[in-house]
This record gives sequence, structure tokens and C-alpha cells, in this order.
Amino acid sequence: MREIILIAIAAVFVENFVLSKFLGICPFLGVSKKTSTAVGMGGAIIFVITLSSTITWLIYEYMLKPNELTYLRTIVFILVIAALVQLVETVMKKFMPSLYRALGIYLPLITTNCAVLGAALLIVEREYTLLQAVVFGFASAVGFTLALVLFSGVRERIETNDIPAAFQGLPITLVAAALVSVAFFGFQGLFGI
Amino acid sequence: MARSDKKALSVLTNGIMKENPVLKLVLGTCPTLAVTTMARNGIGMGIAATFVLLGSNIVISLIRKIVPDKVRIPVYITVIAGFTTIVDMLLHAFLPDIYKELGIYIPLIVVNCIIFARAEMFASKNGVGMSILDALGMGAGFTIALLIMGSVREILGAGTWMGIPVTEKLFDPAVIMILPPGGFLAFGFVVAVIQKLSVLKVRNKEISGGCDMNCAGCAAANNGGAD
Amino acid sequence: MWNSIIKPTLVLFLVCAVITGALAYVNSVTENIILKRTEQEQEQFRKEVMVGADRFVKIDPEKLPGRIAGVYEAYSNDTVIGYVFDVTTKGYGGEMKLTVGIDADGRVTGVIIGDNNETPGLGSKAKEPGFTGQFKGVDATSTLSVVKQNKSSENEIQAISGATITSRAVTEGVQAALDSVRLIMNGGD
Repeated sequence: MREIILIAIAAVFVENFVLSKFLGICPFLGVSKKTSTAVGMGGAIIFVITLSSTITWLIYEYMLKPNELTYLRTIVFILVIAALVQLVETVMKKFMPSLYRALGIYLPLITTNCAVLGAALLIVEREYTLLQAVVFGFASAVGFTLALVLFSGVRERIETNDIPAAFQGLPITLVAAALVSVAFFGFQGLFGI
Repeated sequence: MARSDKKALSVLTNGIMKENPVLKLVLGTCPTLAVTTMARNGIGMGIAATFVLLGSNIVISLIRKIVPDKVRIPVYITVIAGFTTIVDMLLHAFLPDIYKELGIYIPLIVVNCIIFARAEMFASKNGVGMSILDALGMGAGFTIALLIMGSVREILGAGTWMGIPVTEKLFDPAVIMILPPGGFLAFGFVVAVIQKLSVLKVRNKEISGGCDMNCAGCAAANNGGAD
Repeated sequence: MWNSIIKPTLVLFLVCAVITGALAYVNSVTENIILKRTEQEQEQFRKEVMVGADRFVKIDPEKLPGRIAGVYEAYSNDTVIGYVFDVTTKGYGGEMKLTVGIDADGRVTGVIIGDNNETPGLGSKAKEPGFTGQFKGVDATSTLSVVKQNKSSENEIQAISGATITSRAVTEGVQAALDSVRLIMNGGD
């Protein structure tokens, strides 16, 4: 039990996907300054990563490993993720149209998000059990969302400031991200992890 | 004759300067930040990604006329993932040091937006020859960007370049540069310098940094891509 | 029908088949190279933990802890001077491979950490002699424990600050080797 909690806390804070492992940077940098969109994106990611972590774990454990086909994992995982995102999109469109409209454009983006494939690969590398895999996936996505939401708030503030021309746009965003990353870096060593 | 030569040259240099995937199009940012703790790793990743890009551009260009639009995306994914896995295996066997350094970011080349974007934007619409040039150009641009990032971080953060001590007599290294925050910082400053020096501003996308599986929209927004 | 369903499916299937075939081929070629190199590295590690040995012979004792992946008798001029163990243990980032050398008196001669996925700058420090050196001289009858503050006895291993899980994993691995050497030496071989 203790190990599961440690995995979760580490995934959210100590080795935050975005701020420490650089997975999922694209949406992180480009996300709108509105916190509501950040939350929406985060929610979608949490759902997809948790689901994909589970499915890829099952496929790896019961299909790839027994048949010595582990070298196919990259291909299989990414195709599964692409299919999953497509499925989620279709289901959402049909049964939760308002949510679909709100998230709409973010869903296809999730397929090429390093975070999703990254989570699946890390789970395999660390040889987690199914429960650990699900918790890790979920917690990593929560960490991602946390970073995203925090950051959208930071960006909101920056917008109203006077920024030198060369730094406008992407550069100042990156410098701000650096500062948030430093803050999270302080979590190293938390709980003796 | 002269005209198509000029065109070939422009395709090649496009990826290095005008549409540098990392510094201008803001694609492939994950590995850019993750593996540039040392200049050598940056070069390694750049070359690995170029290899995948080359392979996928060639294959996709070759089969572009027989792939129905409906399955185009799964086909591209499969091809790119295939080359990524090959590179992964080759590195593991022949360059184990680089393999260990780059770690999980090697298989993540498959979701590197650059590769998918070029498949969609260029290789699916152009002949093999041009696609090769495009791949080489973009790959070179990517590698150069990684080299710049890696050099900045290694020199400032560890005092060495390619493992050779450089700043020993001058100042103590700022270790933070080779830690995650340093990655963001270095990238920010590098892009700021580029923005200052160039006329074209870096595209400030409203939504994510690129791939939405419909990279036509991405390229159109950038006034980029091939003709 | 042909154009909307059959052709796309066929093309996709063909592409997958070709690529999978190519991968299977590359895999078979590289697998051997990787295996050979790993074996060479392991041989090198064995020599490092058991200095003075001129050859190693793999033995297959029964009933060893599951963590032990291989046991080698270390020979110097036809005398067994000790044993070297290949141990696998689960660290923070996944599997860790250890090479543990124990001499004929039952004392640890060295510990080398091989493949691992520990955090650079933290768990990866376990590779350094500052940490692994703690195991040298430890007796086979010991029970090791990991402590965070300064150690008060030889059987206490001081953990690396910020890498407790890694430290514990290595200690458990060495413990498995110690337990094994007791079994081997008591059971006669």
C-alpha cells in the first residue's frame, strides 16, 4: 500500500511529467492562458492516459511477453493509443456532445502527446504490476494537469506585463516554465523518495 | 534545369533556416529539452531522429499513390514506428552508450511531431528525391538546434563541451542548467536570440505546439511546407 | 466496396506485415550482438569484483533465492578462491543487475552495479565506490540493514540521500548473495 502511495506522490510532484521529464511539452507551452481550457485538456489527458496505461499493460503482459514480441511494443502501443483516442472521440461525440464540443480540438492532439506513450513505456520499463501501472498513469496525468493549470495562471499574469520584444511569445513562456520547474524541483527528496 | 536545382537547394535549406522545426515551428520540443544535457547527446538524438525521418519520408513518398486516404494516418504511424523501433534496436546493439543516455526518448521519436508533420506535409505530396532532401534538411535543422541547446547547457551547466573542460578557469558551472529548469531556461533564451535576429517571429500558436494529426492546418498557419 | 473498405484494409494490412517482418529480421540480427556484448561485460565485472581470479566456472546449485540469476566459482590456479553472483533486484526505475563477489572466507570482495534505470544524480550514485564500498568485507553471516543517518556497525548500510529505494534494492541484492553463499558453502559443492 505504501509503495502505491509513493508511486502516486512521486508521479505528481517529484518526477512531474512536464516539469521534470519533459513529456507533454507541446500542449503545455501552447495552452491558452485561460485556466478553463487547461483544466479541460488536463481532464481529457487523465482519462486517456489512465485508460491507455491499463490497456497497453494488458497487451504487453498477455500478448507481447508470452510470444517474445516485446520489440513490437512501440508500434503496438502507439497504434493502440491512436485507436483509443479515436474511440474516445467518437463515443464522446455521440453521448456527451457538449463535452465533446468543449474539448473537441484537444482530443486528436493527445495521440502525439509524448506523455501518453511515455507513460506506457515507463510502466513497461519499471515492470509495474497492473495496479501500480494504473495508479502511475493516473497520477502522472494528474501531475501533468497540475502543471498545466498552474502554468496557465502564470501566463495570465505575464500577459499584462511589459516584455522586451525579443522575449515576447514563446521565450517568456519558457522562462516562466523554468521558474515553475524550479519550484517543483524542490520536491525532490520528499518522503525519502 | 537550373530552376529545379535551385528548388532542390531551397528544400534542403528550408529545414535548417527558414523553417527550422525546433526554433521556428516549435515542433519536437520534448526531446529538445530532455536530451540536451550534453552536446553529445543532442547530436545523437538528432542523428537518430534524422534516420527515422529519412526512412519514413522515403517509404511514405514511395507508397503515397497507393495508400487510400482513409487509412493514411495508421499507415504513416506504422511506418514511422517501424523505423523508430529499428533505430532503437540498432543503437542498442552498436552504440550502447548513446542508447543508455537517450533511454526512453528513443522510442518517443515516433511521437516527435516533426516526423509526422513532414510525412503529411511533404512526403505524401512529393517525389522520393525531394522527400529525401526535405528529410535531410529538417533532420539537419533539428540536429543543429539540439547541438545549440546541448552546447549552451553543457558549457554553462558542467563547464565542458563534448566532454572537454572549457570554462574551468573562468567560472564555476551553474548545475541548474543541466537540470530540468535549465532546459526551459536555455530554450527560452535561445529562441529569444533567434527572434531578435530574425525578421520572422516564432509562430505563437494558440493551441498546442503543432500536431493535431491534421498537420495541414499547422503548416498552413506557418505559411510553410512545400509548394 | 473495393475502394471504400477492402482496398484500405488490404493496404494497411500489407504495410503492417512488411514492417513487422522487417522488425523481426533486424531484431534477430541485433539480439545476438547485444547478448554477446552483455556476456563480455559480465565477464569484465566478474574479474573486477574478484581480483586474482583467472577463470570463472558457472555452477548450478539448487534452492537459491529467486534473485540470483547466476553463480560462478572463481578459480585461481585450480583453487576456488570465491564465488561471484549475478543478482537481479528491483530498484526505483525497474530492474537492476548486480555483480557480487564473495571470497572463500565468506567475505564480500566487491559489488558492481550494472544495468539500471535509476534516477541520474540520485539513484545512479549507487554505482559509485562511495556507496558500493560499504559492502566490502561484510561477512556472510550478517544481516544487512539500511540506515539513513550515520552507520554504527558494519552491518548497517548508509542510504544515499534522496535514493532510499535504490539503496534498499542494492542491499537486498547483496543480502541474497550472502544467503546464497552460506547455502553453497554449508551444503558442500
